[in-house]
Amino acid sequence: MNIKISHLSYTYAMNQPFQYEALTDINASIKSNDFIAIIGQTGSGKSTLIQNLNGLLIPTMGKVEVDEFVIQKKVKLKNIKQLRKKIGIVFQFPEYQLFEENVEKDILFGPKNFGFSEEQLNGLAKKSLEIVGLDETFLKKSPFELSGGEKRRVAIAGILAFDPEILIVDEPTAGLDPQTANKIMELFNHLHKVQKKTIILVTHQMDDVLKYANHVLALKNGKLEAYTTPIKLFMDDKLMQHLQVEAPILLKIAVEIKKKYPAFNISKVRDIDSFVQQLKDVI
Amino acid sequence: MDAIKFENVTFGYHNQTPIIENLNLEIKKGKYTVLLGHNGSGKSTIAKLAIGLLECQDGNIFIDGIELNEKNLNQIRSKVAIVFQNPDNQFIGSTVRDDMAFGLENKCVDPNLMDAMIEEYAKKVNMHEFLDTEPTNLSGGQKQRVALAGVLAMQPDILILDEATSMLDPIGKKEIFDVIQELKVKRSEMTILSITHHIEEALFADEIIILNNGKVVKVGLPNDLLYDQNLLNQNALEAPFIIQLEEKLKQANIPFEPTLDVKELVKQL
Repeated sequence: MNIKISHLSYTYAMNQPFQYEALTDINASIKSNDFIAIIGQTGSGKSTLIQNLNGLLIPTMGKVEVDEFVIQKKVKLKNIKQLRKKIGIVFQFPEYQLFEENVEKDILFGPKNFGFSEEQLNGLAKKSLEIVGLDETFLKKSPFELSGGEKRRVAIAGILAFDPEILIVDEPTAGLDPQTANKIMELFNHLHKVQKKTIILVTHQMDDVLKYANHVLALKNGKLEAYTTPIKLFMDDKLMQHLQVEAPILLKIAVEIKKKYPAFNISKVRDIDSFVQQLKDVI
Repeated sequence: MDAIKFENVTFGYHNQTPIIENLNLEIKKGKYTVLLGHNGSGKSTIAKLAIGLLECQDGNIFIDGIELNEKNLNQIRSKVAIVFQNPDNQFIGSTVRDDMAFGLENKCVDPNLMDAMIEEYAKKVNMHEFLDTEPTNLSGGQKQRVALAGVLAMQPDILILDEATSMLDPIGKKEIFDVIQELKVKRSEMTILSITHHIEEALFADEIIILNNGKVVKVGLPNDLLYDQNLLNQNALEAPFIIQLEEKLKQANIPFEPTLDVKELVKQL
């Protein structure tokens, strides 16, 4: 599924005292099976943007097209359920959306709503838990007695259960310990590489942007400031300063190394391992 | 005297396997302590027990030497303030200004002084332009700033931060960290307990406590604990970036002298 965003603006509380324009004239296309990172300071409009992609919010101006679906003001959106089945959003702190008496029921809530048959539902919760790295002993547990990291995984499993083509994740690792965070990022990477899903990742973790994303979409004060590859963005000092975002320290080191060893290939640096590999090649 | 003291504390939900069992913990008065532990290690449970949101099944908890029980809960809550991970759980006012005033009103602050205090603390966290905004219309990171400002304005003796900057970008995190450090310098008797796995934050702690499965694994100084790769691995924590890099360089047989200074390391390569 391809997403096309044209002249999208979004204003909260229009014509009310709290009126606030969160997004201004955004234009961008997202291709099927891409891995996109959306970055920007807190309050730059990241979360507002993703909610406009599956019709949770309707653009105040402009439109969003997702294949045949058109999300636009004053145009009735047909089959909105089908759209939302295809674009799954894992919100910030998804564990606060858990509400069922046990994990199994919670995971199956989405699929049931989308009209999955009994046959399709059979074993689905267990399978979804497996994908996020939890075993079947969790099925009958109450979501409220799980730890923060476990709740997060259960919430993600609930979205994966209805097998969306596009997965939007809003700061999925905020508040998680580093090892759990790594596992969750590897999970998204697997879904992208193996299951060919489109991943849209909203994040502050520039290390993750460098490591996983093919493209990065940078927002500031509701405006789209850049839509390019992570390396190109991070190497553009002026733009980075304007965005008030700091490049990964690894890349800063890579730039210094490049000064010493001109053969060093910065564009291949994505994490510590690939950095060391490149360094080995030139030393 | 300890600001917070746990004596053989046991707690579990609905008589299930306890999350913490026979825990002994001492948070020193006037210090900046960082409690590190992976998800599910019992960190947040400790925070909730310390302010009496949860009641322990066994053992005793002392705040500033006073035993925490139903009778003196109010007295204790006037000393301790907490910022939760998700600020949505603690907004009350219809605007940022009202929300910050709520805490101050409860502390019976002179209304004539209140406005200036609200302005001052909102400015510290860079949210003074949003004083008349509805908290629900703020982004996650902005909400965290407001929640922090509201709590700081109350000038608590003991401040507990439970992943209080998790939704902020790295620059925002640093700003908030600087505000807290600045307050600490001004009010040296204030105790700060930060619950986090943000390892760079732990670098500046007076003391680090590592927690796993509801037990204290180790107490020590940043220099002693953060470079102990085995200790960190065993407790699902990650070493600081430079240590990770040096580990991989070693594996690749690239020669260098270990250092904690990135610039120094680059010079050697």
